[in-house]
Amino acid sequence: MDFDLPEDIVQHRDKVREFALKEFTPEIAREHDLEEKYPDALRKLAFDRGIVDFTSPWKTLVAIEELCRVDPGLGISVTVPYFGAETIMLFGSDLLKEKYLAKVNAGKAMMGLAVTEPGGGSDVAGIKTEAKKVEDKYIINGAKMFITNGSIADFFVMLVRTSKPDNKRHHGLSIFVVDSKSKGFSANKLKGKLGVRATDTAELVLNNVEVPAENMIGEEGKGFYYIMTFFNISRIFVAAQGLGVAQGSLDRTLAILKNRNEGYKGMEEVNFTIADMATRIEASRLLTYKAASFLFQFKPKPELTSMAKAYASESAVFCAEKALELTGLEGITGDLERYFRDAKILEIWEGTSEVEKLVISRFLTKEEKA
Amino acid sequence: MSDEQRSMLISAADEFFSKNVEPANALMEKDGISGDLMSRIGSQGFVGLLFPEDIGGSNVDAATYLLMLEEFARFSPSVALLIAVQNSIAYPLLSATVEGKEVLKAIAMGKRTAGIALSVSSMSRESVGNLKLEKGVLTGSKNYILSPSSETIIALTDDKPAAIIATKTGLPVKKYHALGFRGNGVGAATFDNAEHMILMRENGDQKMRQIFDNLDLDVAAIALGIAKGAMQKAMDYSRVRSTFGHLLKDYSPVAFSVSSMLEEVSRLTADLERTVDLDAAARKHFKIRAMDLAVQASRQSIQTHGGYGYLQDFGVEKFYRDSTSLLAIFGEGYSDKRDLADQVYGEKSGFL
Ligand SMILES: Cc1cc2nc3c(=O)[nH]c(=O)nc-3n(C[C@H](O)[C@H](O)[C@H](O)COP(=O)(O)OP(=O)(O)OC[C@H]3O[C@@H](n4cnc5c(N)ncnc54)[C@H](O)[C@@H]3O)c2cc1C
Repeated sequence: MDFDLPEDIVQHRDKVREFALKEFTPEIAREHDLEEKYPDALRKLAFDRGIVDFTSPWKTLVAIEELCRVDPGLGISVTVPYFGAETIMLFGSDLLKEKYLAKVNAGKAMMGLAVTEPGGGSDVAGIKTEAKKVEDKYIINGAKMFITNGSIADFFVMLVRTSKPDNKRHHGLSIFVVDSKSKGFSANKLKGKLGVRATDTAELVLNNVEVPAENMIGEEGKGFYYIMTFFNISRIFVAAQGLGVAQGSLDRTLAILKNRNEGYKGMEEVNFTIADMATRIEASRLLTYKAASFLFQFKPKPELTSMAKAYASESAVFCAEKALELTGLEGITGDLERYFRDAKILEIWEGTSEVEKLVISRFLTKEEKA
Repeated sequence: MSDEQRSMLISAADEFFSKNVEPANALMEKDGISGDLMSRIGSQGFVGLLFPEDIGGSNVDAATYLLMLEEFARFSPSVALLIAVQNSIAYPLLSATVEGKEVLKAIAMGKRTAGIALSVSSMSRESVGNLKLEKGVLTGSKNYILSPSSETIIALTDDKPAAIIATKTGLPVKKYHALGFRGNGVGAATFDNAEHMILMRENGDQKMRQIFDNLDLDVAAIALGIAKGAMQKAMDYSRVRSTFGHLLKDYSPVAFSVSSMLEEVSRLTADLERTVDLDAAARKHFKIRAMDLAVQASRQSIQTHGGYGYLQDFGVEKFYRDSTSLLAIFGEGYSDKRDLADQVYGEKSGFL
């Protein structure tokens, strides 16, 4: 068993760290957080410098980790323009790959994934947005909630209902590429998020939006399966976000403690808390890399990915809370407080911690039955 | 005060805060607690709760005071903390002089507020600020002032012996973007040549420590208010939100955590009345439990609300920021846990 990452990945990690330390200055991070502004210039820069390289999943994983370590809001923002791309990559036609994905891969377009609705996010099969076939088009009506890149993306991969469910609720769902410039499409940016405020989040409203039939990804009725396959991949990258937030919280805590008086920084309770943070980070990292290793070799173990996502997210929250407990007033008035606000989203998006536990326990009981 | 009078007062606070304070929360988080809102709260007699009547106070007993703070914090932890500072810090320090009493009168009416320079035991003196009083003249600054835009700033000087002063006017302030208590704000201020009153000429550090110890129960009450406010919102939401065809409250992980935390809040609230008579160790322990519960409950409340919990509009994310800030400000440097250890062992312990 070898726990070392290959040399090219280690080099990429170093390159990304250098980039993040240079470009994600505290001033830039604060500005985008306070003003809830998407960092488009940084997105372009990260793309041009090869920081974000979606041809290699390992490079993507360590890049997310290192970027979020320096600033989670900016880190997520520059790596999220491709959110949902795997659905087209795995199930989309050549036409869709060429027409949409190629532009995203060239850094010339941004995309998003629209699943959640005002009525619910955990219960994916319960979505209400409908697409009705009229000749060679589909007409979509409904609303999507909390969609990342919602007011800035060029197009969305969207889950909709194309037929009434039969005895299984998750039947009758399909996914489409929906252009944000379509007539009847509107996006309302949601302001006032607790954290990840540099990311763009919006509510989408679809009022008789026409989508060509060729924009359907894969087969009609298989949308639920495609989305679940996607989440089983994308959750590993949320685990990487968690690792970054947790590690960044620890880095900054250690830096602050250096300047504290001897009595405090020498106190065992302080040092044991740091040890707990570091242990959880290492455990999260091992779990994440193990799940990633199965996934990236096309032998996915969704229960392992869900464990990594839930554990790394909870560790991020744990570390960010402990960081503020240890650093007190200095922590809550400095750059550390952003990590705390950013961390909490990780337990919510792309499957709440409860949903991850449902996935894990279902796999265990399924295995038991088999 | 009879039980009946007390519950009437608390329901009056509940009504006033739900109608007047809660709707102002979003603006308060952005711009701080407005003078107008404080005047309205003052006119209800909710500011000078512990002040005697001759200076415009409501003169309520200690237990009622704590229950009122808890109630205020359910709606606005920032307002509750500001009121706590007026009653447990400004009042004991300013009430000894005629000039101080005039300031307290204005505070009771909500026309003026007092902010406090916080001490941070784990930081070097220079990082917290260096305020000097020489020949009646103030020089230097303090880096962590709670409610720094107040017209009166109370601070301990860094002289030996240490004095306690209160400024007569507001100071030029550099505000931080603080995680919580944004209604109050935290900032740094320069005191150079500021007009001031001397509240204590020496032993200021001892007095300040005693005052901050007295604030323990106020902090505990605010923490409980946060926990209650957060959990009530979680309970209300879980009764109406459905996923997978069932109400959230029907899922065991949701119902178990919401119900056990709400029950714990009720237990601790019931203890709050008795806490006034408890010894120092029990009070410290009570504060530690209440602060932990507030963080746990507010984190859980966001989780129960799912994506909506992450948005300001639903009013739960602020509880998470405020509870964590409460712990960071008033549980700083494990000072409570060290004090508790000292008190329980009866000698200096837990310092290594
Ligand atoms: C900033 C942000 C960005 C987002 N970006 C996107 C995006 O790009 N695309 C997208 O589609 N969505 C996005 N989301 C939505 C996110 O994925 C959902 O918020 C999340 O899936 C939870 O759904 P919900 O908010 O409807 O909560 P609900 O599903 O209503 O859940 C509420 C609570 O109940 C719990 N719960 C639900 N079912 C059960 C159960 N059976 N047992 C126990 N507990 C249960 C949940 O875990 C949660 O704690 C985003 C959300 C936010 C806040």
